[in-house]
Amino acid sequence: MQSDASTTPKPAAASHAHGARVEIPLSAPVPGAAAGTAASAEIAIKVRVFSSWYGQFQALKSIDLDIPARHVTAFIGPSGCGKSTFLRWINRMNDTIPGARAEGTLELHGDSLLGKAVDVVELRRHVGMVFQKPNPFPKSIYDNVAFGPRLHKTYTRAELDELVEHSLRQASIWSEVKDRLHASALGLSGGQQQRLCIARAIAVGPEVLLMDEPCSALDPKSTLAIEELIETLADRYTIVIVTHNMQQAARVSDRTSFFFEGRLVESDATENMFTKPRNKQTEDYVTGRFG
Amino acid sequence: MARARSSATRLLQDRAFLLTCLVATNVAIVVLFVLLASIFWQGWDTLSWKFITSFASRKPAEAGILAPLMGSIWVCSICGIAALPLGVGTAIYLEEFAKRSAFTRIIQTNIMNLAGVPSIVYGILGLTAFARMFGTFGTNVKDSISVGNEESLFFLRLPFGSSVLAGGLTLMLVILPVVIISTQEALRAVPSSLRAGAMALGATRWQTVWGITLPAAIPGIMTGAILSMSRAIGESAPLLVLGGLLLVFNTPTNLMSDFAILPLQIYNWAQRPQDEFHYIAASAIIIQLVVLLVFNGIAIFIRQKLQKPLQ
Amino acid sequence: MPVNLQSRVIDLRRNLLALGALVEQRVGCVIEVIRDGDVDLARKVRAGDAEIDQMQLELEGECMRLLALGSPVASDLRLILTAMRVSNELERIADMCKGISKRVIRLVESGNYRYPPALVQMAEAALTMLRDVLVAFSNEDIKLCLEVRRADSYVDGLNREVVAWAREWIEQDVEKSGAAIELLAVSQRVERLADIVTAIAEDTVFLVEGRLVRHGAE
Repeated sequence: MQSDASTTPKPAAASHAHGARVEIPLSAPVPGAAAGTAASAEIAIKVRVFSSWYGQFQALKSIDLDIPARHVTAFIGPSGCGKSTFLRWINRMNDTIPGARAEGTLELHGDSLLGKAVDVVELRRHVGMVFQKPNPFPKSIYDNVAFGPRLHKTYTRAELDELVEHSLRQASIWSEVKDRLHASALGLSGGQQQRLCIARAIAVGPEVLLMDEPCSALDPKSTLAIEELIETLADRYTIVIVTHNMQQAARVSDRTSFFFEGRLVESDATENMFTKPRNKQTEDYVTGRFG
Repeated sequence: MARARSSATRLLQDRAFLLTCLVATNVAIVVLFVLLASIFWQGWDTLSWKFITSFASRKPAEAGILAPLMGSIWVCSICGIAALPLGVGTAIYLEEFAKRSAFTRIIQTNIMNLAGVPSIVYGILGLTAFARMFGTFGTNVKDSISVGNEESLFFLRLPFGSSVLAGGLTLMLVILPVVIISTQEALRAVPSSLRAGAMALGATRWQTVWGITLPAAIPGIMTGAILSMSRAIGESAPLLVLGGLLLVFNTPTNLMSDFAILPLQIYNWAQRPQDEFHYIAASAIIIQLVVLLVFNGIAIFIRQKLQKPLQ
Repeated sequence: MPVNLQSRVIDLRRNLLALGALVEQRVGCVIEVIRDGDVDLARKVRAGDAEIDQMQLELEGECMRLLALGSPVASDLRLILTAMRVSNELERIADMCKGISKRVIRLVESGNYRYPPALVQMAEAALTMLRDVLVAFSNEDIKLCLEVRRADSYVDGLNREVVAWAREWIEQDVEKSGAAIELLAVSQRVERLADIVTAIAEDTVFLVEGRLVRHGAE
């Protein structure tokens, strides 16, 4: 009785008042439910029957997921459930781990991300990453932001200046650093450093931004600043954020996916995940009964 | 049942430990001071510009260290120029590029062992490989192949013979393991989060090393370089084997020149029965210390220069 | 704070059902008041309203606290929202009972107390509906909720009978029109009572399924 009401796409107007975000009229590919019909949101990343291993240990089991473009998708789940592992496959950072392998379908705009044929250096230009602990390079603020672009192209001084300013503005940190671009990045506060890392990631012009618990090392005020930043960035970038903080996932994301022990248990519009999740495990996790 | 430790005992232990450390430090300082003082006391009077600019002689009053001084500078410079790129390059390959395998483990173990090999072994190796080149050019000077004029700067002769080039390369062998190991340590000390950050931006391994890892590791690498060079300047055994104790009356003009070095000259004079020679030996020691400080100063300067952008 | 939230949500549920039981008892009394014109009982019902108001305020206060401090989500959130609404609705039902009691007292004291059987039937139906909806809430039984909603039209039908009866009474004896109108007011309150019970049923559907079924939606 209930599944019909929620798997057909609802028109945007029917969503409850939700600030500037429109409810995603996408059907969630929950295990067992019918695959997505007439998705009005463009799919950026398509995942089908995706499994991965670290040596003998299977970290991810048969994941099916669609990540919509230019929206924020949150991955939640208890420690060790595989959400960070999955995130790191999207930009092939797991390549650095010996014994890591994956099977299945993982595509970005139709191009497969798996296999030796993929140019991972080029991939990482399109898929950027922000880490849990801010990791600015021990260089000036300017050089931090310019580092990425310089890897891929040569720029004139003027072009680079403009690119750096543009990226710092997008990351909402320009006004704080514009007078000290050549000072060391290590002199910034934690929240500023993280925004700098975001600017750095944006500077290469990616389509997708992966964020692995970007606020867990920050104080509440910086966390709020970054969450606001994520909301503005979502207009241009597809954002996938892994978070332990349920309230953050609720505040920041349009869609939420719940992982448990390597499986994708449920994936739905965030609103639904936090008001009426379909799966009992999801309900228990989200209300804090475990995890 | 747990017994409480008396606070007084703990305090006493703390004080005793502090005292022990102070004594150890002071002993080291005092010994060093005494050594330096005795050297300066012995050698200060005979130190003069004439001393630095004259060649050796049977008469102590006329003897100078120009030949060994220039010889040491030439040999150590060649050693440094050869060892640093080779050592740092090897370390970078082993740390950043090579896949961990049994092969790399063997290489690693061997490098560590080589660091402990007595330097005279390197002297013999250098003699065979660089000076004599395994006999491929015969043992007679007439059979050697040479390019260029013997008097000019650009002169090359195969085999190298007892030349500054052979000496420098032999010294390079001595300090290479140390350079490799200390560079590896410096590279390891760079946090992997920085590498991850660079890779996530789409940097190739080479771009990561050149742009991020190497600059961050410079202080450690330079420290290793300083330590290695300090050792090289004082090495006498390998160069002795190579033929560095020749009575040389000129400074090196090109890579193939014969050479004398300061440590050997000092040894030579210190051995003589006359006291006057002992004094000039002490003067020579002072000069060697100065050379050492200059080389270290250069390395420190390079380190500062490369670190400056971080400030 | 999850552990604390869990137990407090459980307590909230229990207290809400306790309030429901109390209001149910009031409605039972009101049936007797209507049927027997029992003025003493009516006075007791009128006086007891304060107690119910107090309970409702406490419940609502607890809901606010949990919302502010507990960051509830999913079923916890739905329960707290439902508890706020339902406690309010129960309080209004109790208010209806008070209003009915007041009017019956006036009618009896003026000696004009007459009523059609339909009125008692309405009240009994309303009580049944209330009982059912509380059971439905307790058991999370959606089917029962929908039945309760359907029963509302039965009550509406009975109300029309009472209106017809009152009109007849006025035509027969115009001087008693005041009393007839008072009686209509009683009937109106019973009908309103049933409506409120229907709202509780709709709230229960929201609690269980997370969807809103107001205003006639299925």
